Amino acid sequence: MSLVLNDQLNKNSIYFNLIIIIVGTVLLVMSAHAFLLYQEKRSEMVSEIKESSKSKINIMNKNIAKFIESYSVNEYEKFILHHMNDKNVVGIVVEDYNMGNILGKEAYITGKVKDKTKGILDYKSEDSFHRFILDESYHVDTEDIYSQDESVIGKISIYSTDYYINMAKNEIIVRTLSQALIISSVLILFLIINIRNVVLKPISSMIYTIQHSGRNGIPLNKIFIKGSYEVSVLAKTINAMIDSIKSTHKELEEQKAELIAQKDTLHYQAHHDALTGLANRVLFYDRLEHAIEKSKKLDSKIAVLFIDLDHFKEINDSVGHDVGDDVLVEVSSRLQNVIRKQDTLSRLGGDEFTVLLENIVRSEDVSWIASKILATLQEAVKIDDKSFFISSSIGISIYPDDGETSIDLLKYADAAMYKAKDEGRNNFQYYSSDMTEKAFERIMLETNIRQGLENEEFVVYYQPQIDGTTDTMIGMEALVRWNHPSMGIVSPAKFMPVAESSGLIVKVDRYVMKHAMQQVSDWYAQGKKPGVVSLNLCIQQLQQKDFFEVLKSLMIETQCKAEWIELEVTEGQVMTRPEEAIKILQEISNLGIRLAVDDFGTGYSSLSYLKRLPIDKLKIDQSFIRDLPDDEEDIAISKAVISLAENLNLKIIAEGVETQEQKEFLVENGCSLIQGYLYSKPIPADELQKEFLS
Amino acid sequence: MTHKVHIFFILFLLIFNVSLSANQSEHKKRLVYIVSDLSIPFWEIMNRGVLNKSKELGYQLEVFSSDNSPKKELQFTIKAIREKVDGIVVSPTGSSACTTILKFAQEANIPVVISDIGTDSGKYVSFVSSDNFDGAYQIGKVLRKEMLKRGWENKKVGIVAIPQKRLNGQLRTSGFMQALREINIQGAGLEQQVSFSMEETYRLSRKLIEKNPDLGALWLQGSDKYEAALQAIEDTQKEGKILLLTFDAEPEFLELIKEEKLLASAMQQPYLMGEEAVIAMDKHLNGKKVEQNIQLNVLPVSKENIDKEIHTIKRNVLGIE
Repeated sequence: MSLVLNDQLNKNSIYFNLIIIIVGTVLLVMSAHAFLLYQEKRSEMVSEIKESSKSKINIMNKNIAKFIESYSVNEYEKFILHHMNDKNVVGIVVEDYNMGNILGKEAYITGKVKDKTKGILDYKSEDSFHRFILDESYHVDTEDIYSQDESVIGKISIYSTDYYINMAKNEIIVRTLSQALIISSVLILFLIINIRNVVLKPISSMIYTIQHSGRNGIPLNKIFIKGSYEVSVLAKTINAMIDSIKSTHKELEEQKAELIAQKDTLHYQAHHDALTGLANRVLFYDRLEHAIEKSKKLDSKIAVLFIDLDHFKEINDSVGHDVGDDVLVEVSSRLQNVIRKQDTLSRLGGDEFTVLLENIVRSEDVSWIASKILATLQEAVKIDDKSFFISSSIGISIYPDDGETSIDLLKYADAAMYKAKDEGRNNFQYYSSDMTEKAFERIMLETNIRQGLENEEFVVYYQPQIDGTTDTMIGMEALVRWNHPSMGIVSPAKFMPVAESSGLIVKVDRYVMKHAMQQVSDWYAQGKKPGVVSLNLCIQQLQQKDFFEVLKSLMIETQCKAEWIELEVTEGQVMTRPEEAIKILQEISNLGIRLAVDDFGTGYSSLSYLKRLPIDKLKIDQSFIRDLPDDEEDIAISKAVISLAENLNLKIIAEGVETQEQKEFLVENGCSLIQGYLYSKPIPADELQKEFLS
Repeated sequence: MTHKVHIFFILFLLIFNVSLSANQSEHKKRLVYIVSDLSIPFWEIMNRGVLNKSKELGYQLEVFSSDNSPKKELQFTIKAIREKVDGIVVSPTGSSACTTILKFAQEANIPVVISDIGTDSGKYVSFVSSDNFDGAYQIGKVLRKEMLKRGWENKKVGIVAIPQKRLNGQLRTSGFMQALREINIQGAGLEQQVSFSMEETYRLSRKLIEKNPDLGALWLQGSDKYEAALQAIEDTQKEGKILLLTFDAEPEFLELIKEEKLLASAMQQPYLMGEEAVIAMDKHLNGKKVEQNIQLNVLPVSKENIDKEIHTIKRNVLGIE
């Protein structure tokens, strides 16, 4: 900008350029005029000299002829002297042949020459100076002189000088140049003053007005319109442009304000969670990196808390996203109250929150805040007169102990969070390096599950369900096992959480359904009586829009009848969104498929809903069976559940029965259907067929 | 006629004598006298003065008559210069021609004395001339005296003049007119001679007489054509009514003045002029100071003084020793 300005400043102004052009042009024209005038005058003078010389020589010739004839030498010498008064004549020489004859020579040569002082000297042909004067003359006219009888009696030469031409030339030059100078000066002055007044002043005024601008660069005032037509038009045009620019600038300012507002909004939206108003992942990363930089300088520590709500998905699934959102807002509010003002709380998405704690002095401080978070989130959340009990799992990573980048710190906190999940939820865990490996394992596991489904590495195991009173098999529960080519049999406890969290559970379930239905159908086709096969349904499966179509097509494909199938749903799955569950289960039931409630007793079943469910069977959770028949609470619960089933006219089955005592207690108390290791662990189909269907 | 034979005889003797003298004295300084025209008595008388004085002073003299021809005059001049004479005395054909003579002589470093006529320019040793103005003035006074005597104050005076471009002509006219103006005598006009012929003088004279009935006097600025003027007066029956005056002299004038046919004449002294010219040259050649302009008196001769001045007239005017 400075360079451009300097460049502009170094340029000549129009005024200066005009002066140069005008002065140059006027001087050129006047010089040309002077030169032509001089040439004309000179030509006139030369012509005049020549004509004068010619005329003079003619006159002199006639007169001198008489004098020569009469030998009046002095007379013609006086005559010559008289004509020497002509200023242009520098010499007159007469050759007198008559006199020459007297003198014994060819001619008597006489005449006059003028020296430099204009003195008239008697011409002497032998005088070199005299010859020089004549040789230097500008013009010579020579004529023979004739006598009356036409004989040549002499010769006359008139020498003319250009001295006066040169004098006149100098005078003309001086006079013309003086005139040219005066006229030029007047003309230049006139042109400069008029151009300055008529053109440049208005332009300067325009420049001043245009330069006199506000901070936005737009001229503050309008140009005063005066001067010639072009200048006035230019001024009007510039004024119109100024108006247009002002108008445009105003619009731009308004648009700019709108854009800034939009930008602020977008920026806010880009950096904040729309639901809770908390910082989002982007802003969190930004603040985390900022905090890292700050901590590097201050040599302080940072803690990143990765908070994941336990079973929040079930709330969402059961009571809807709106309620789930209200819960998240409430959670946000509680978390906000727990942390310090300078700490950053963000929602990464779903039920995942992070807290950034800066200037950590002691790790106990982090634990204290984590504990407060656990405590505040444990309190029941009331939404629309409904109470929800949630807990959270918290993973903690520390800068710079665990990692030095924002990505590492968040990744490690996430890993620690999973550790907390693994540890039974509702706790916090500090990151340790092995967590990274577990996180990696989880990703690898997810990949392997996908490959396993494609490669049909999953196999269906069957655990028989026995009528304890007769010890005869009435059916079986289909359970999935993963026979990995390198890892061998992988425990469902290991891969099911990954399958659930990744959504692969839907595919796994359908895989099991297809294979189990095909197996049962095959057994019936073989004339065997395997009874009813129980299939576990995750809530995600029920929420799939194509579930019924898939189910019906599988039944057709496998030729498996509806009465051969029993679908198990967990109490929690049903009770989170009971109305919807009732509707879905009713449709399943309408197909003729039996329904059982799995893990009964672990949830918060509402008896009114339970009554309305189109279910056939309750399945007592194995946790109540484990300590039977010794634990009083388990005894009481078991009896209550059995009693409930009887009252609702539902079948009841106990799972996880491992001892004879457990079986006897259950049978004695009215639960004759037994599933568990007492009779058989889950076994492949061929084994089941061999042991129970042969 | 007698006079002319006499003059030629004398001239012959002189030339012979000069030639003889030249041969006899080779060591004598040589002078040349170039005279306008020896056929004219005035110049012939002057030539005698030159001859006489040259002889007297011991110079070898050679005389050339230009016969009123500038060409001859120049030829003689160049001849003299080539012969490297010691001095030239010249009575030029004209004052302009004299300038050329002086120019050539000066280039040859030969001194020149001019006897009468004069020069337009140039360097010379001395110019011997008559006091034409005073001579004319004096003759004018003689005329006015006679006119007053006769009670002719109201009569006019006519002039038959030599060319007025000549200096001597101008001086003669102005001197004469001054004398008349002093008593308020009116002029009747001036007619200039060109050819100096008898006919011309007669014609001009008669013209003035006839043109001016109250003409009381006629002044002829020359001398040799006086007869034509007398004839004009006679032919117009103005004898005794018109007075005649002349300038210079003829031998007959001595009788004519006495007979009152001629009232008076202003007589130059040519013989004396010739002598004065040689004297001036002699002084110059001898390193003496010479007066550059020597003016001799013109004698106003009338019946009143003719007898008194007869000796001077015979010698200095007429060259009769």
